[in-house]
Amino acid sequence: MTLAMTCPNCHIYYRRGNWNKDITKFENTYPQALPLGAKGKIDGTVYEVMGFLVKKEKRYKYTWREYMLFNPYLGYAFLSEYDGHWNFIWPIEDNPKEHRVDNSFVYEHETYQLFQKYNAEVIYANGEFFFDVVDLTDSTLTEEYIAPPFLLGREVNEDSLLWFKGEYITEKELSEAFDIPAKNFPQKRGLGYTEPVSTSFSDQSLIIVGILLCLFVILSQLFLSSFDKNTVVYQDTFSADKLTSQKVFITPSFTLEGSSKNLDIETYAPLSNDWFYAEFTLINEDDGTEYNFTKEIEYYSGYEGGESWSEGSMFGEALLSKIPGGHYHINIYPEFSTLNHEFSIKVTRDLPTYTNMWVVILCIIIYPAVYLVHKRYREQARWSESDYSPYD
Amino acid sequence: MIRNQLYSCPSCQLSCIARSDETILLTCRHCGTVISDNNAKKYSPAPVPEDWSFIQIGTKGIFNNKDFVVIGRIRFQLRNDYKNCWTIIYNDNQLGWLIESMGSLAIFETKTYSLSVEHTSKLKANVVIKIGKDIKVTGEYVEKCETLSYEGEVGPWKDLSTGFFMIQASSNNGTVLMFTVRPQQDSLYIVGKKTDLQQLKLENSIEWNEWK
Repeated sequence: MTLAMTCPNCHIYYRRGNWNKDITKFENTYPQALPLGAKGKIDGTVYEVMGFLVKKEKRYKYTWREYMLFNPYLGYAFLSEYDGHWNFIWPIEDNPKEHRVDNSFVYEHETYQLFQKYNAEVIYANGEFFFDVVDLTDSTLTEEYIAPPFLLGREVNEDSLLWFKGEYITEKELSEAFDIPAKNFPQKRGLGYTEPVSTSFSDQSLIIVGILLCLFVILSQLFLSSFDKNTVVYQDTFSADKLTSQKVFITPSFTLEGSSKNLDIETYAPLSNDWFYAEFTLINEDDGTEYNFTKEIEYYSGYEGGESWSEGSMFGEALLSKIPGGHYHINIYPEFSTLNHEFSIKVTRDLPTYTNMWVVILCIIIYPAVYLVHKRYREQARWSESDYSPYD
Repeated sequence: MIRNQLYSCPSCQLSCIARSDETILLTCRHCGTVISDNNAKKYSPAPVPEDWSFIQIGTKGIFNNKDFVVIGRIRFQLRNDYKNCWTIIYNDNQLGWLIESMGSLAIFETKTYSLSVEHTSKLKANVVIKIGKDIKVTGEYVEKCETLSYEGEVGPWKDLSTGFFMIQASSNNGTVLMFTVRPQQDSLYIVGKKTDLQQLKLENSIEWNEWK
């Protein structure tokens, strides 16, 4: 079965077939992380390391390492390592290209995209091989398609067409499979071209769950809001000419029903290029508790350069949360400009509010948004080494 | 050869029995000498080398709901591969081929077809050709056969000499064609289906305990 092998002493590579007795000498030797003869269990199958190869891409001159594995029931397979990232690769009988459209195709429910095409050469070999890896590599054009953590490769030369499938394998899995400490493996650099973004869910499921959660929050808010009474408990208009010598308006007493609920005080002043300012004190007449707040309203408008403009508003709003039931009145300390001489307020009890809902929705959206942005950044990094990047 | 007929080994006189009328040769289970109805000298097998095949004579399995047992093989040593073409006999005494290499398995019928030389010349790796009306296959590999050897009872393989090119082509539905091609000649081919270990439910195969 072994058709080519290397001499452990002088490291020459020689063929055993009667039809070819050529010898290949390599200029350098290279260290290997998995020794020849090492056995490891991958996906429940025991493989033995039969050979080690260092390959160099002919155009861009980068190198990577391949370990030829063998199992008598399943034949051969490979472990490929580049920049500390590993893929377990095995030949398949299918011809996935049948489904190809341009540079991508769907195979076994995954969309594969062309990542690279290359010709390579073997610059170092060690061990034994079931075929002439040096000559075959030299004459083969390889296309690799990825759908992380999977890859599909297509090797074509004059005499053969071979498809193989691969899957990213972590250092930890490899270390456990071969009982070799992970520190013996080459250090990882960057993102492996088939390295998955490590999540147990798909983008689609993340988006669907996010939308469902948002819908749940909105429906819950609408349901709970249906119980809000939204009652106007007091409203009035105040004129500057009725201001007392203490410069204060004191509203009549009004009653807030029920337990602690929110209270909305809306202020309106008929402003035109003017401002209005007031200090408010809501006073609980039963226990003397005071709630202080201020409100400043500005509204300006004009016509300039052929266009009318405006800024500010004639309305102001203060929302006080958790105001207990009881009897209340409001002391208002207004400051009028020279132009404006009146304002009005409207006090509403138990107003439906949506602030909390938006905060919760924001929290729900943040994770998927950050995740998707991060993922896109990582995908761009992954494809930065490809001539076929969909991000270019 | 004739089913259930006794054949004496020309070397050691051991009696051997053919299990099928389609059998073209036997090897003596004692000394390995070829026994044939025809001129046995034309078969000059190399001894079957030890390989890592887990199938052996006596291995049993099931294909298309029919039980079969392995009774012999031809081993083709190709330039960058090998093929073990195991002769199998079904429980209805029909023969078939279980072709195995490096974990790749396919079952073939023994019926041999012919392809004209002009079609044969188109057979290459990565080229799609049409066979008959509705079979479209893609060439997967072309390998020259350098040596062959056999053991046990060998079914009706038509070309038992070296130097031909073995070409495998398959369609996406698992149909696989195995051609034997010689330059400037019509080629011969057999038709089969790709399969796997689980489907064949093999028994009495070699237990490679160190791989468990």
